[in-house]
Amino acid sequence: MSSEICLQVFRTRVGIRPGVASLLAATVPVLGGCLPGPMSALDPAGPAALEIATLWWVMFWASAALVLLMTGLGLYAACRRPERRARVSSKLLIFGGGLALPSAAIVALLIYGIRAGHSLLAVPLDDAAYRVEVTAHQWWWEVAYPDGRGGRLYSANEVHVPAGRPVDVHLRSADVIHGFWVPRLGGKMDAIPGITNVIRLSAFEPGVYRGQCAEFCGAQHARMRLTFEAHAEEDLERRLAALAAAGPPAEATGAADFQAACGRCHAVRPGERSLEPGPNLADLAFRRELGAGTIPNEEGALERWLVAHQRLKPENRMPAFDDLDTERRASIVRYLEGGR
Amino acid sequence: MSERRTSGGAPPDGRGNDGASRTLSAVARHRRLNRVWHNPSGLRGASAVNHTVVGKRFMATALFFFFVGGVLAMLIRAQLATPDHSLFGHELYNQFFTMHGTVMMFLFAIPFIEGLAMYLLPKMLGSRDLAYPRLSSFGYWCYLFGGLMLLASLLAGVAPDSGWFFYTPLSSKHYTPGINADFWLLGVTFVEISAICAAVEFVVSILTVRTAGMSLSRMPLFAWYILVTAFMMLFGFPPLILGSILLELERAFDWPFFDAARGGDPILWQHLFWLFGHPEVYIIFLPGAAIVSTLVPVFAGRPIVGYTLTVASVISIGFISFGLWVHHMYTVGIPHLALVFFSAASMLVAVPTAVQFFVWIATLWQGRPRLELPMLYLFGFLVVFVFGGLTGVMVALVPFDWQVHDTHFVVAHMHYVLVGGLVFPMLAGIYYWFPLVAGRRTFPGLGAIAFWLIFIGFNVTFLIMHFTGLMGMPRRIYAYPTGLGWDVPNLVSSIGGFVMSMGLLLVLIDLVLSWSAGRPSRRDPWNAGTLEWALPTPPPFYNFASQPAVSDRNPLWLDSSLPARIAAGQGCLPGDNAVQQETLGVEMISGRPNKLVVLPRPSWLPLWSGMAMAGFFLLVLAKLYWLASIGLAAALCVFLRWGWENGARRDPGDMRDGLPPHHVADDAPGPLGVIFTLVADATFFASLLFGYAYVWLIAPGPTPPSLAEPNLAALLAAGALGAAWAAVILGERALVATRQVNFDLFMLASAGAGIGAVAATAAAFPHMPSPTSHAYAAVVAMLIAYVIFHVVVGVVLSAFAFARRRSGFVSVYRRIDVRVCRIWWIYTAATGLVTLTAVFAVPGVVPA
Repeated sequence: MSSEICLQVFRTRVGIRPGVASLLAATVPVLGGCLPGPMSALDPAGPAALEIATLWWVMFWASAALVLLMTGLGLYAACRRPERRARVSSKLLIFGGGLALPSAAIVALLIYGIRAGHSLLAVPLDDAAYRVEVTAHQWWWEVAYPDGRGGRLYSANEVHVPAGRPVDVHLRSADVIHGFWVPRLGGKMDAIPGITNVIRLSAFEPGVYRGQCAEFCGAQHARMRLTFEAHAEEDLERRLAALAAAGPPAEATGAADFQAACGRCHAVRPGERSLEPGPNLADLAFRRELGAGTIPNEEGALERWLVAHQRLKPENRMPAFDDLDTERRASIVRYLEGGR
Repeated sequence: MSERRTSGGAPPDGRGNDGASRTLSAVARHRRLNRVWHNPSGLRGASAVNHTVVGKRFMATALFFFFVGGVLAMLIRAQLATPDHSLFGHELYNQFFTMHGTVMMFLFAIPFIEGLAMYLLPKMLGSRDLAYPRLSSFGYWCYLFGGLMLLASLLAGVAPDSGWFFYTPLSSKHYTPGINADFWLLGVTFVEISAICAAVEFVVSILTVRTAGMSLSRMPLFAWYILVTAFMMLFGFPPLILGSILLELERAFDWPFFDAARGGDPILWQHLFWLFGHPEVYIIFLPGAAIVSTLVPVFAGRPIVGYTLTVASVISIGFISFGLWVHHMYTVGIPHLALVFFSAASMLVAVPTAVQFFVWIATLWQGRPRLELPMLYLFGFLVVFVFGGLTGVMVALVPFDWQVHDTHFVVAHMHYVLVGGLVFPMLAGIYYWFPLVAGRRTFPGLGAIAFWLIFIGFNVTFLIMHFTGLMGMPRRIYAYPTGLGWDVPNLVSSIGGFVMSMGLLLVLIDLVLSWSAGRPSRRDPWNAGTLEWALPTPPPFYNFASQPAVSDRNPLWLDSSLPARIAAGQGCLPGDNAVQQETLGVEMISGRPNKLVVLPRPSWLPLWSGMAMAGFFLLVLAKLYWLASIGLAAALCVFLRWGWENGARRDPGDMRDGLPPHHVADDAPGPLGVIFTLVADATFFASLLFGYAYVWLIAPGPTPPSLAEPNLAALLAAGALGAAWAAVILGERALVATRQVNFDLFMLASAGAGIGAVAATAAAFPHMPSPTSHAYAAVVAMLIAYVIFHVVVGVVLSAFAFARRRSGFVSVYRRIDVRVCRIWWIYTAATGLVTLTAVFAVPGVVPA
């Protein structure tokens, strides 16, 4: 995490005087700072994650000190020869160490933590928050933009949002309990059948942030990933316009093959939902990955997926389609790739 | 009776003894007691009920399952050692991690604690056995058969695979159609019967079966910890038993308790599970702390500093631990204000825990510590558990938990707490008590090498795992891609895991070697102060040749000649003329002896009843429900036979110069045990009412159907319950007034009222929709089933009391059967009336 970002946070959120803030911000990288990684909560890219990462390093060093203190006291009491041991009354040890020390630490932590927690809540924000709806399925994410161009737009496994602005993700589940989590931006929230949960996230900068299902949800819990992409406002506009216009032309060759084999579960118009739940494939050609993060969407990947998806992601809900001959498969691939 | 009770010569103050019996030598006394307390060996040993035997069986079986759980852990670490490493597919991996958690929690940790407490408690409390030896044995068979059921599922490749906390709807029929989940729900419930049995056993034994003079304030701290733990088990396990029954009903009969589409709620399962699951952590930690509090004073060479404070902090941990279950559910969308409460409660528990730590440090500080092998393991405990406690405070903080919940950070935290809280103290305890159990010393060098392997291996595995989690690795994924920075930490964890298991294996080797070839140990090799070290090693079945009257918390430190005096028969109840197994029963608080607890000989009844229960569970598993009910009926028959064996047909003679046998005592263990069982039962009932209110008021989905208008039949049912209640009270009065015939009539009346109550309850729901239609209908059906079950048992108990009176087992003095019957009916009538009110009156007042 960069010092400037820390500085900004210390000033605005923690409300510390600028001098002290820059001092603190300078120490954060020294304390441990950043543990880089595409899914590292300690490589924060948004205010919520930054707040939590800072909280972690503060708690980490405090805990390290306490472990050393306790170990030291234990070793001292056990190993130092009794006659050379400092005379300390048991009352002082027990009441000081057992009551005063933890009580003070807990009160401080609670005050700090509750405040930090409040700042991460999805409280009403006068329409300032961008809204996106995510419905979790075994084992993929259905994404809906309620205010897309020309109405509601559907996509899957990729969430496109504005950078530098709060985003409220409205979470639902179509089957079992899942956990929506983009570690570099903030905490996680469960997607639970029957209710809608909201989690507020925000990215400092445009970028691609990886997410993954956190709550164990069955066979392919491991391969239920998503990408969360923050754009500058105009880029987002462009991306969603592309989504609105995506989908292969209805009369394209392969349409009949696609409808026969895949149409029941996959819609190819961005505004439609299929009869049975399956990812909307309108903007498939633009997506970064296939199978909710199973393989990168590179040249030939779709063909490979259609052939081997039950080996790449065993037990995924899509039938194996072993009876699909090469010709029809190629025609479906061409059809979907024509969606650009 | 009186002529057979010659060994009960101790006067109520428990200090003197029968003058005439001093003539026996210590060896002759030992022979005599050994004959009376003899337990068969070989295959017939399965009938043994002695606490030493059953305790060792529990511990050995638990260590076997520890080994199984450890092998599963190694398989998990092997799979995760490198990215996308497919040693196993998801089917096996998901079974492995589910079973690792299940085995470690339900088949290792809790049973080991039960076994250790079972083995040690009577020896520490100066008594000869626990209050209900046959119940312990029954609990063991439930544990063994339930555990074997789960193990069989693993070997057959159909083990549970929904994660050890088994969240619905993933574990529901639709998403887990196989038999896997049923194995878990039925196997774990079966094993939990044993936990409830042990809890009742411990509470009653600690409160009433001690030696003379051992007041509550002189009890070893170990007993205090186990007492609190046992109470926590009584309150902690029923919510999970209820949850498992509801989920099994949902899976088997489609009763939609947790189905959001039909008015249920998957979050209800999480509440029930964590109402158990959080206290469970402390149920595991407190016995670990009990070991620490026992060992630290011994190796510091002085009594513990702050005995009362320690007891107070243990009790407060017990209370607080029930107020923070929601801290496992921060991410389910509970309002933030509520979370703040649970966050504060979760952190609050750190205070009494810290008090204990500083009590231990202060004790060492004021003493002259000896650094022997068990101390090394205690040091490991100190470091590891402090770390786990601190990360526990971290995850109690809501915003931080939102980030690390369901990641490997939590996996690391939980292992620090559980391995730190139980495994290190357990190993310290094993090395400490091994000379007592086996009569031999272990090899200190091996034990020390093992310690360093375990300690270093553990920290290498789990310290870095905190960062694996912070770098974004969720729990329970069977494969992960490279490039996320997870490769190195996972490899390190796997290497550490194998080092740790080498250490544990070395401990096992050490124990096996020492058992056969260790140096014989003298009595009390550590110069300890508590009574178990007054026994010869290994201890005889009867423990104490005479029960010492104690006046201090560390009787052996006060009087080093105590072991010799015990063997010389200078305590209470010397075994010189023993003809039956007896031990002192005491007043709860003062420890003044007030009865003789007469204990059972080896018995096959526990095994038969355990097998009947196993038959029931297996038949339910096979979905042969009608046959299963036969299994249950068979179990009931064995229990009735068991009940029939108790008591006597004659009143004891003149008791003025001795202690009355327990079956005529006012505070007999039997009714007390029934009361504590009903405490657990009431927790079950309260959890069910919670479920009722939850489905009625909180669950999303369609509005509950209105299905119960107040009607005449409901009033009649309430009246019949009240009548049964009144009949047993009047019946007991008639008995006391020696109007036996009236007593018989009242017992029959209560049974009749019970049958009437069942009929009226059935008639009170004329338009009952199918329980499959809505969760509300299912919960109401469950409540009705609960009431009817209790009424039916009540009818059986009334008939039993009637038959017992007719056969001469019941008199003015011998009223245990009647009191049990009365307690049961009061409970049944009360819960029945609450149920009728909740179902018929509340919906009219509180709109959904």
